[in-house]
Amino acid sequence: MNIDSVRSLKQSLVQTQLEPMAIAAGKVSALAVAAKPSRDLTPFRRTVALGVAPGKSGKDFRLAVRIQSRGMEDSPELERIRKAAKGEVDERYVGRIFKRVEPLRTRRRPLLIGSSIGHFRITAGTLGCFVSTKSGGRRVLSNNHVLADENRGKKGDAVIQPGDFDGGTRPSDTVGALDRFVRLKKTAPNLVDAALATIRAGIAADTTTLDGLGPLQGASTAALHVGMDVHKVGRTTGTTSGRVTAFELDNVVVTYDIGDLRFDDQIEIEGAGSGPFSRGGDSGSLIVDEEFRAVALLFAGGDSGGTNGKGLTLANPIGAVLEALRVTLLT
Amino acid sequence: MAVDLERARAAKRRLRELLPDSLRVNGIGITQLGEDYAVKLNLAAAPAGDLDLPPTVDGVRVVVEVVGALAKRPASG
Repeated sequence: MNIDSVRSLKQSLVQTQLEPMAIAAGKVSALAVAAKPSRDLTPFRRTVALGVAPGKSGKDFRLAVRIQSRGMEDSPELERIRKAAKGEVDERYVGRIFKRVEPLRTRRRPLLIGSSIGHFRITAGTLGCFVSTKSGGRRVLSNNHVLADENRGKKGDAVIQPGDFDGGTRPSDTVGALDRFVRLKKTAPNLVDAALATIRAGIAADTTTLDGLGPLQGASTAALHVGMDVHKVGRTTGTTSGRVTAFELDNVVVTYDIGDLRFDDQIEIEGAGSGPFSRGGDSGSLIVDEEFRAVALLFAGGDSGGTNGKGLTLANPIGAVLEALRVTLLT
Repeated sequence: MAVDLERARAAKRRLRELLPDSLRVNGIGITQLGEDYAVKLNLAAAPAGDLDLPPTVDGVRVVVEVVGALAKRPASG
């Protein structure tokens, strides 16, 4: 077939064969599916996908038929499609096709900096890094609102990796437990949004790899400066780069479930290039400088502002975080 | 003479005293313009049309930016 014939045939078959199948599936769902969360419902069933495939020569084409369900292979609908194409079909079984799952939102063992994590009741945030307590215990560092559910968590509560939003469940994805946190204050300025989780015995942790960057080089002791290039690895936007636009930022008002909270002495960062530095789900990300030394812990942001108009990210200075929790960075 | 960090910090404290309560301030910090330190004033919303914000405080420049609402960043959809 020439290209125009295949396109015309495809369009005709989509209308006469595929669309009726989709409508039929939608009716069945509306009438017969018992009550369950709306996200579990789908108006489509897997059938076939149609397209254009190369034929025997450069100007010859076939109808591409991609079968997504074994049950469709001998169906009358597929037989009608084959007949309409007079057998000039490139037919393949492709099975169920899944959306692309970002690797940092999946189960990671050993535990990885930048991966999805959270208190079992929250959606998901980011595993910032690993720290050591004074007695030598290993802990996961992230935000209070990620590991301690904004002060509502209790010591010993399960922490899951990946977080609930990414399919993590108890007990199979429990990697540790809430240890301690800096309480978020409603009536006084906060300096950090930070918490620690223990790591369950037998669960390994990769304490140094910054996915897409290199090995973590410890905590920076140098002063921040405006224009400084920084990077982070986060559950939602992965590895991104940005630059510091302000520091010693006081009276920053951030919306939480428990109310609007004030933060002092914060760091402001904008995304480099055309994208944002962070989005929802990146909370808890460790922010590093160009030598991959930790400089801050990401906890909030907005969609307005910044040179590229993609919003600003707010972060706690890492020194204040480590001091408040009385821990040191593990590398 | 370039504005140093201590002078910018002092201007930041002074600016806080000067700002009207009606202004929706969402952060006041330190930034840099070339060699000079400056004060960064973040606003949750644009100020009313009749409100003039000072371009400098004690000789330190003030950079104003409307940053909107800020929120924690867990996964949300």
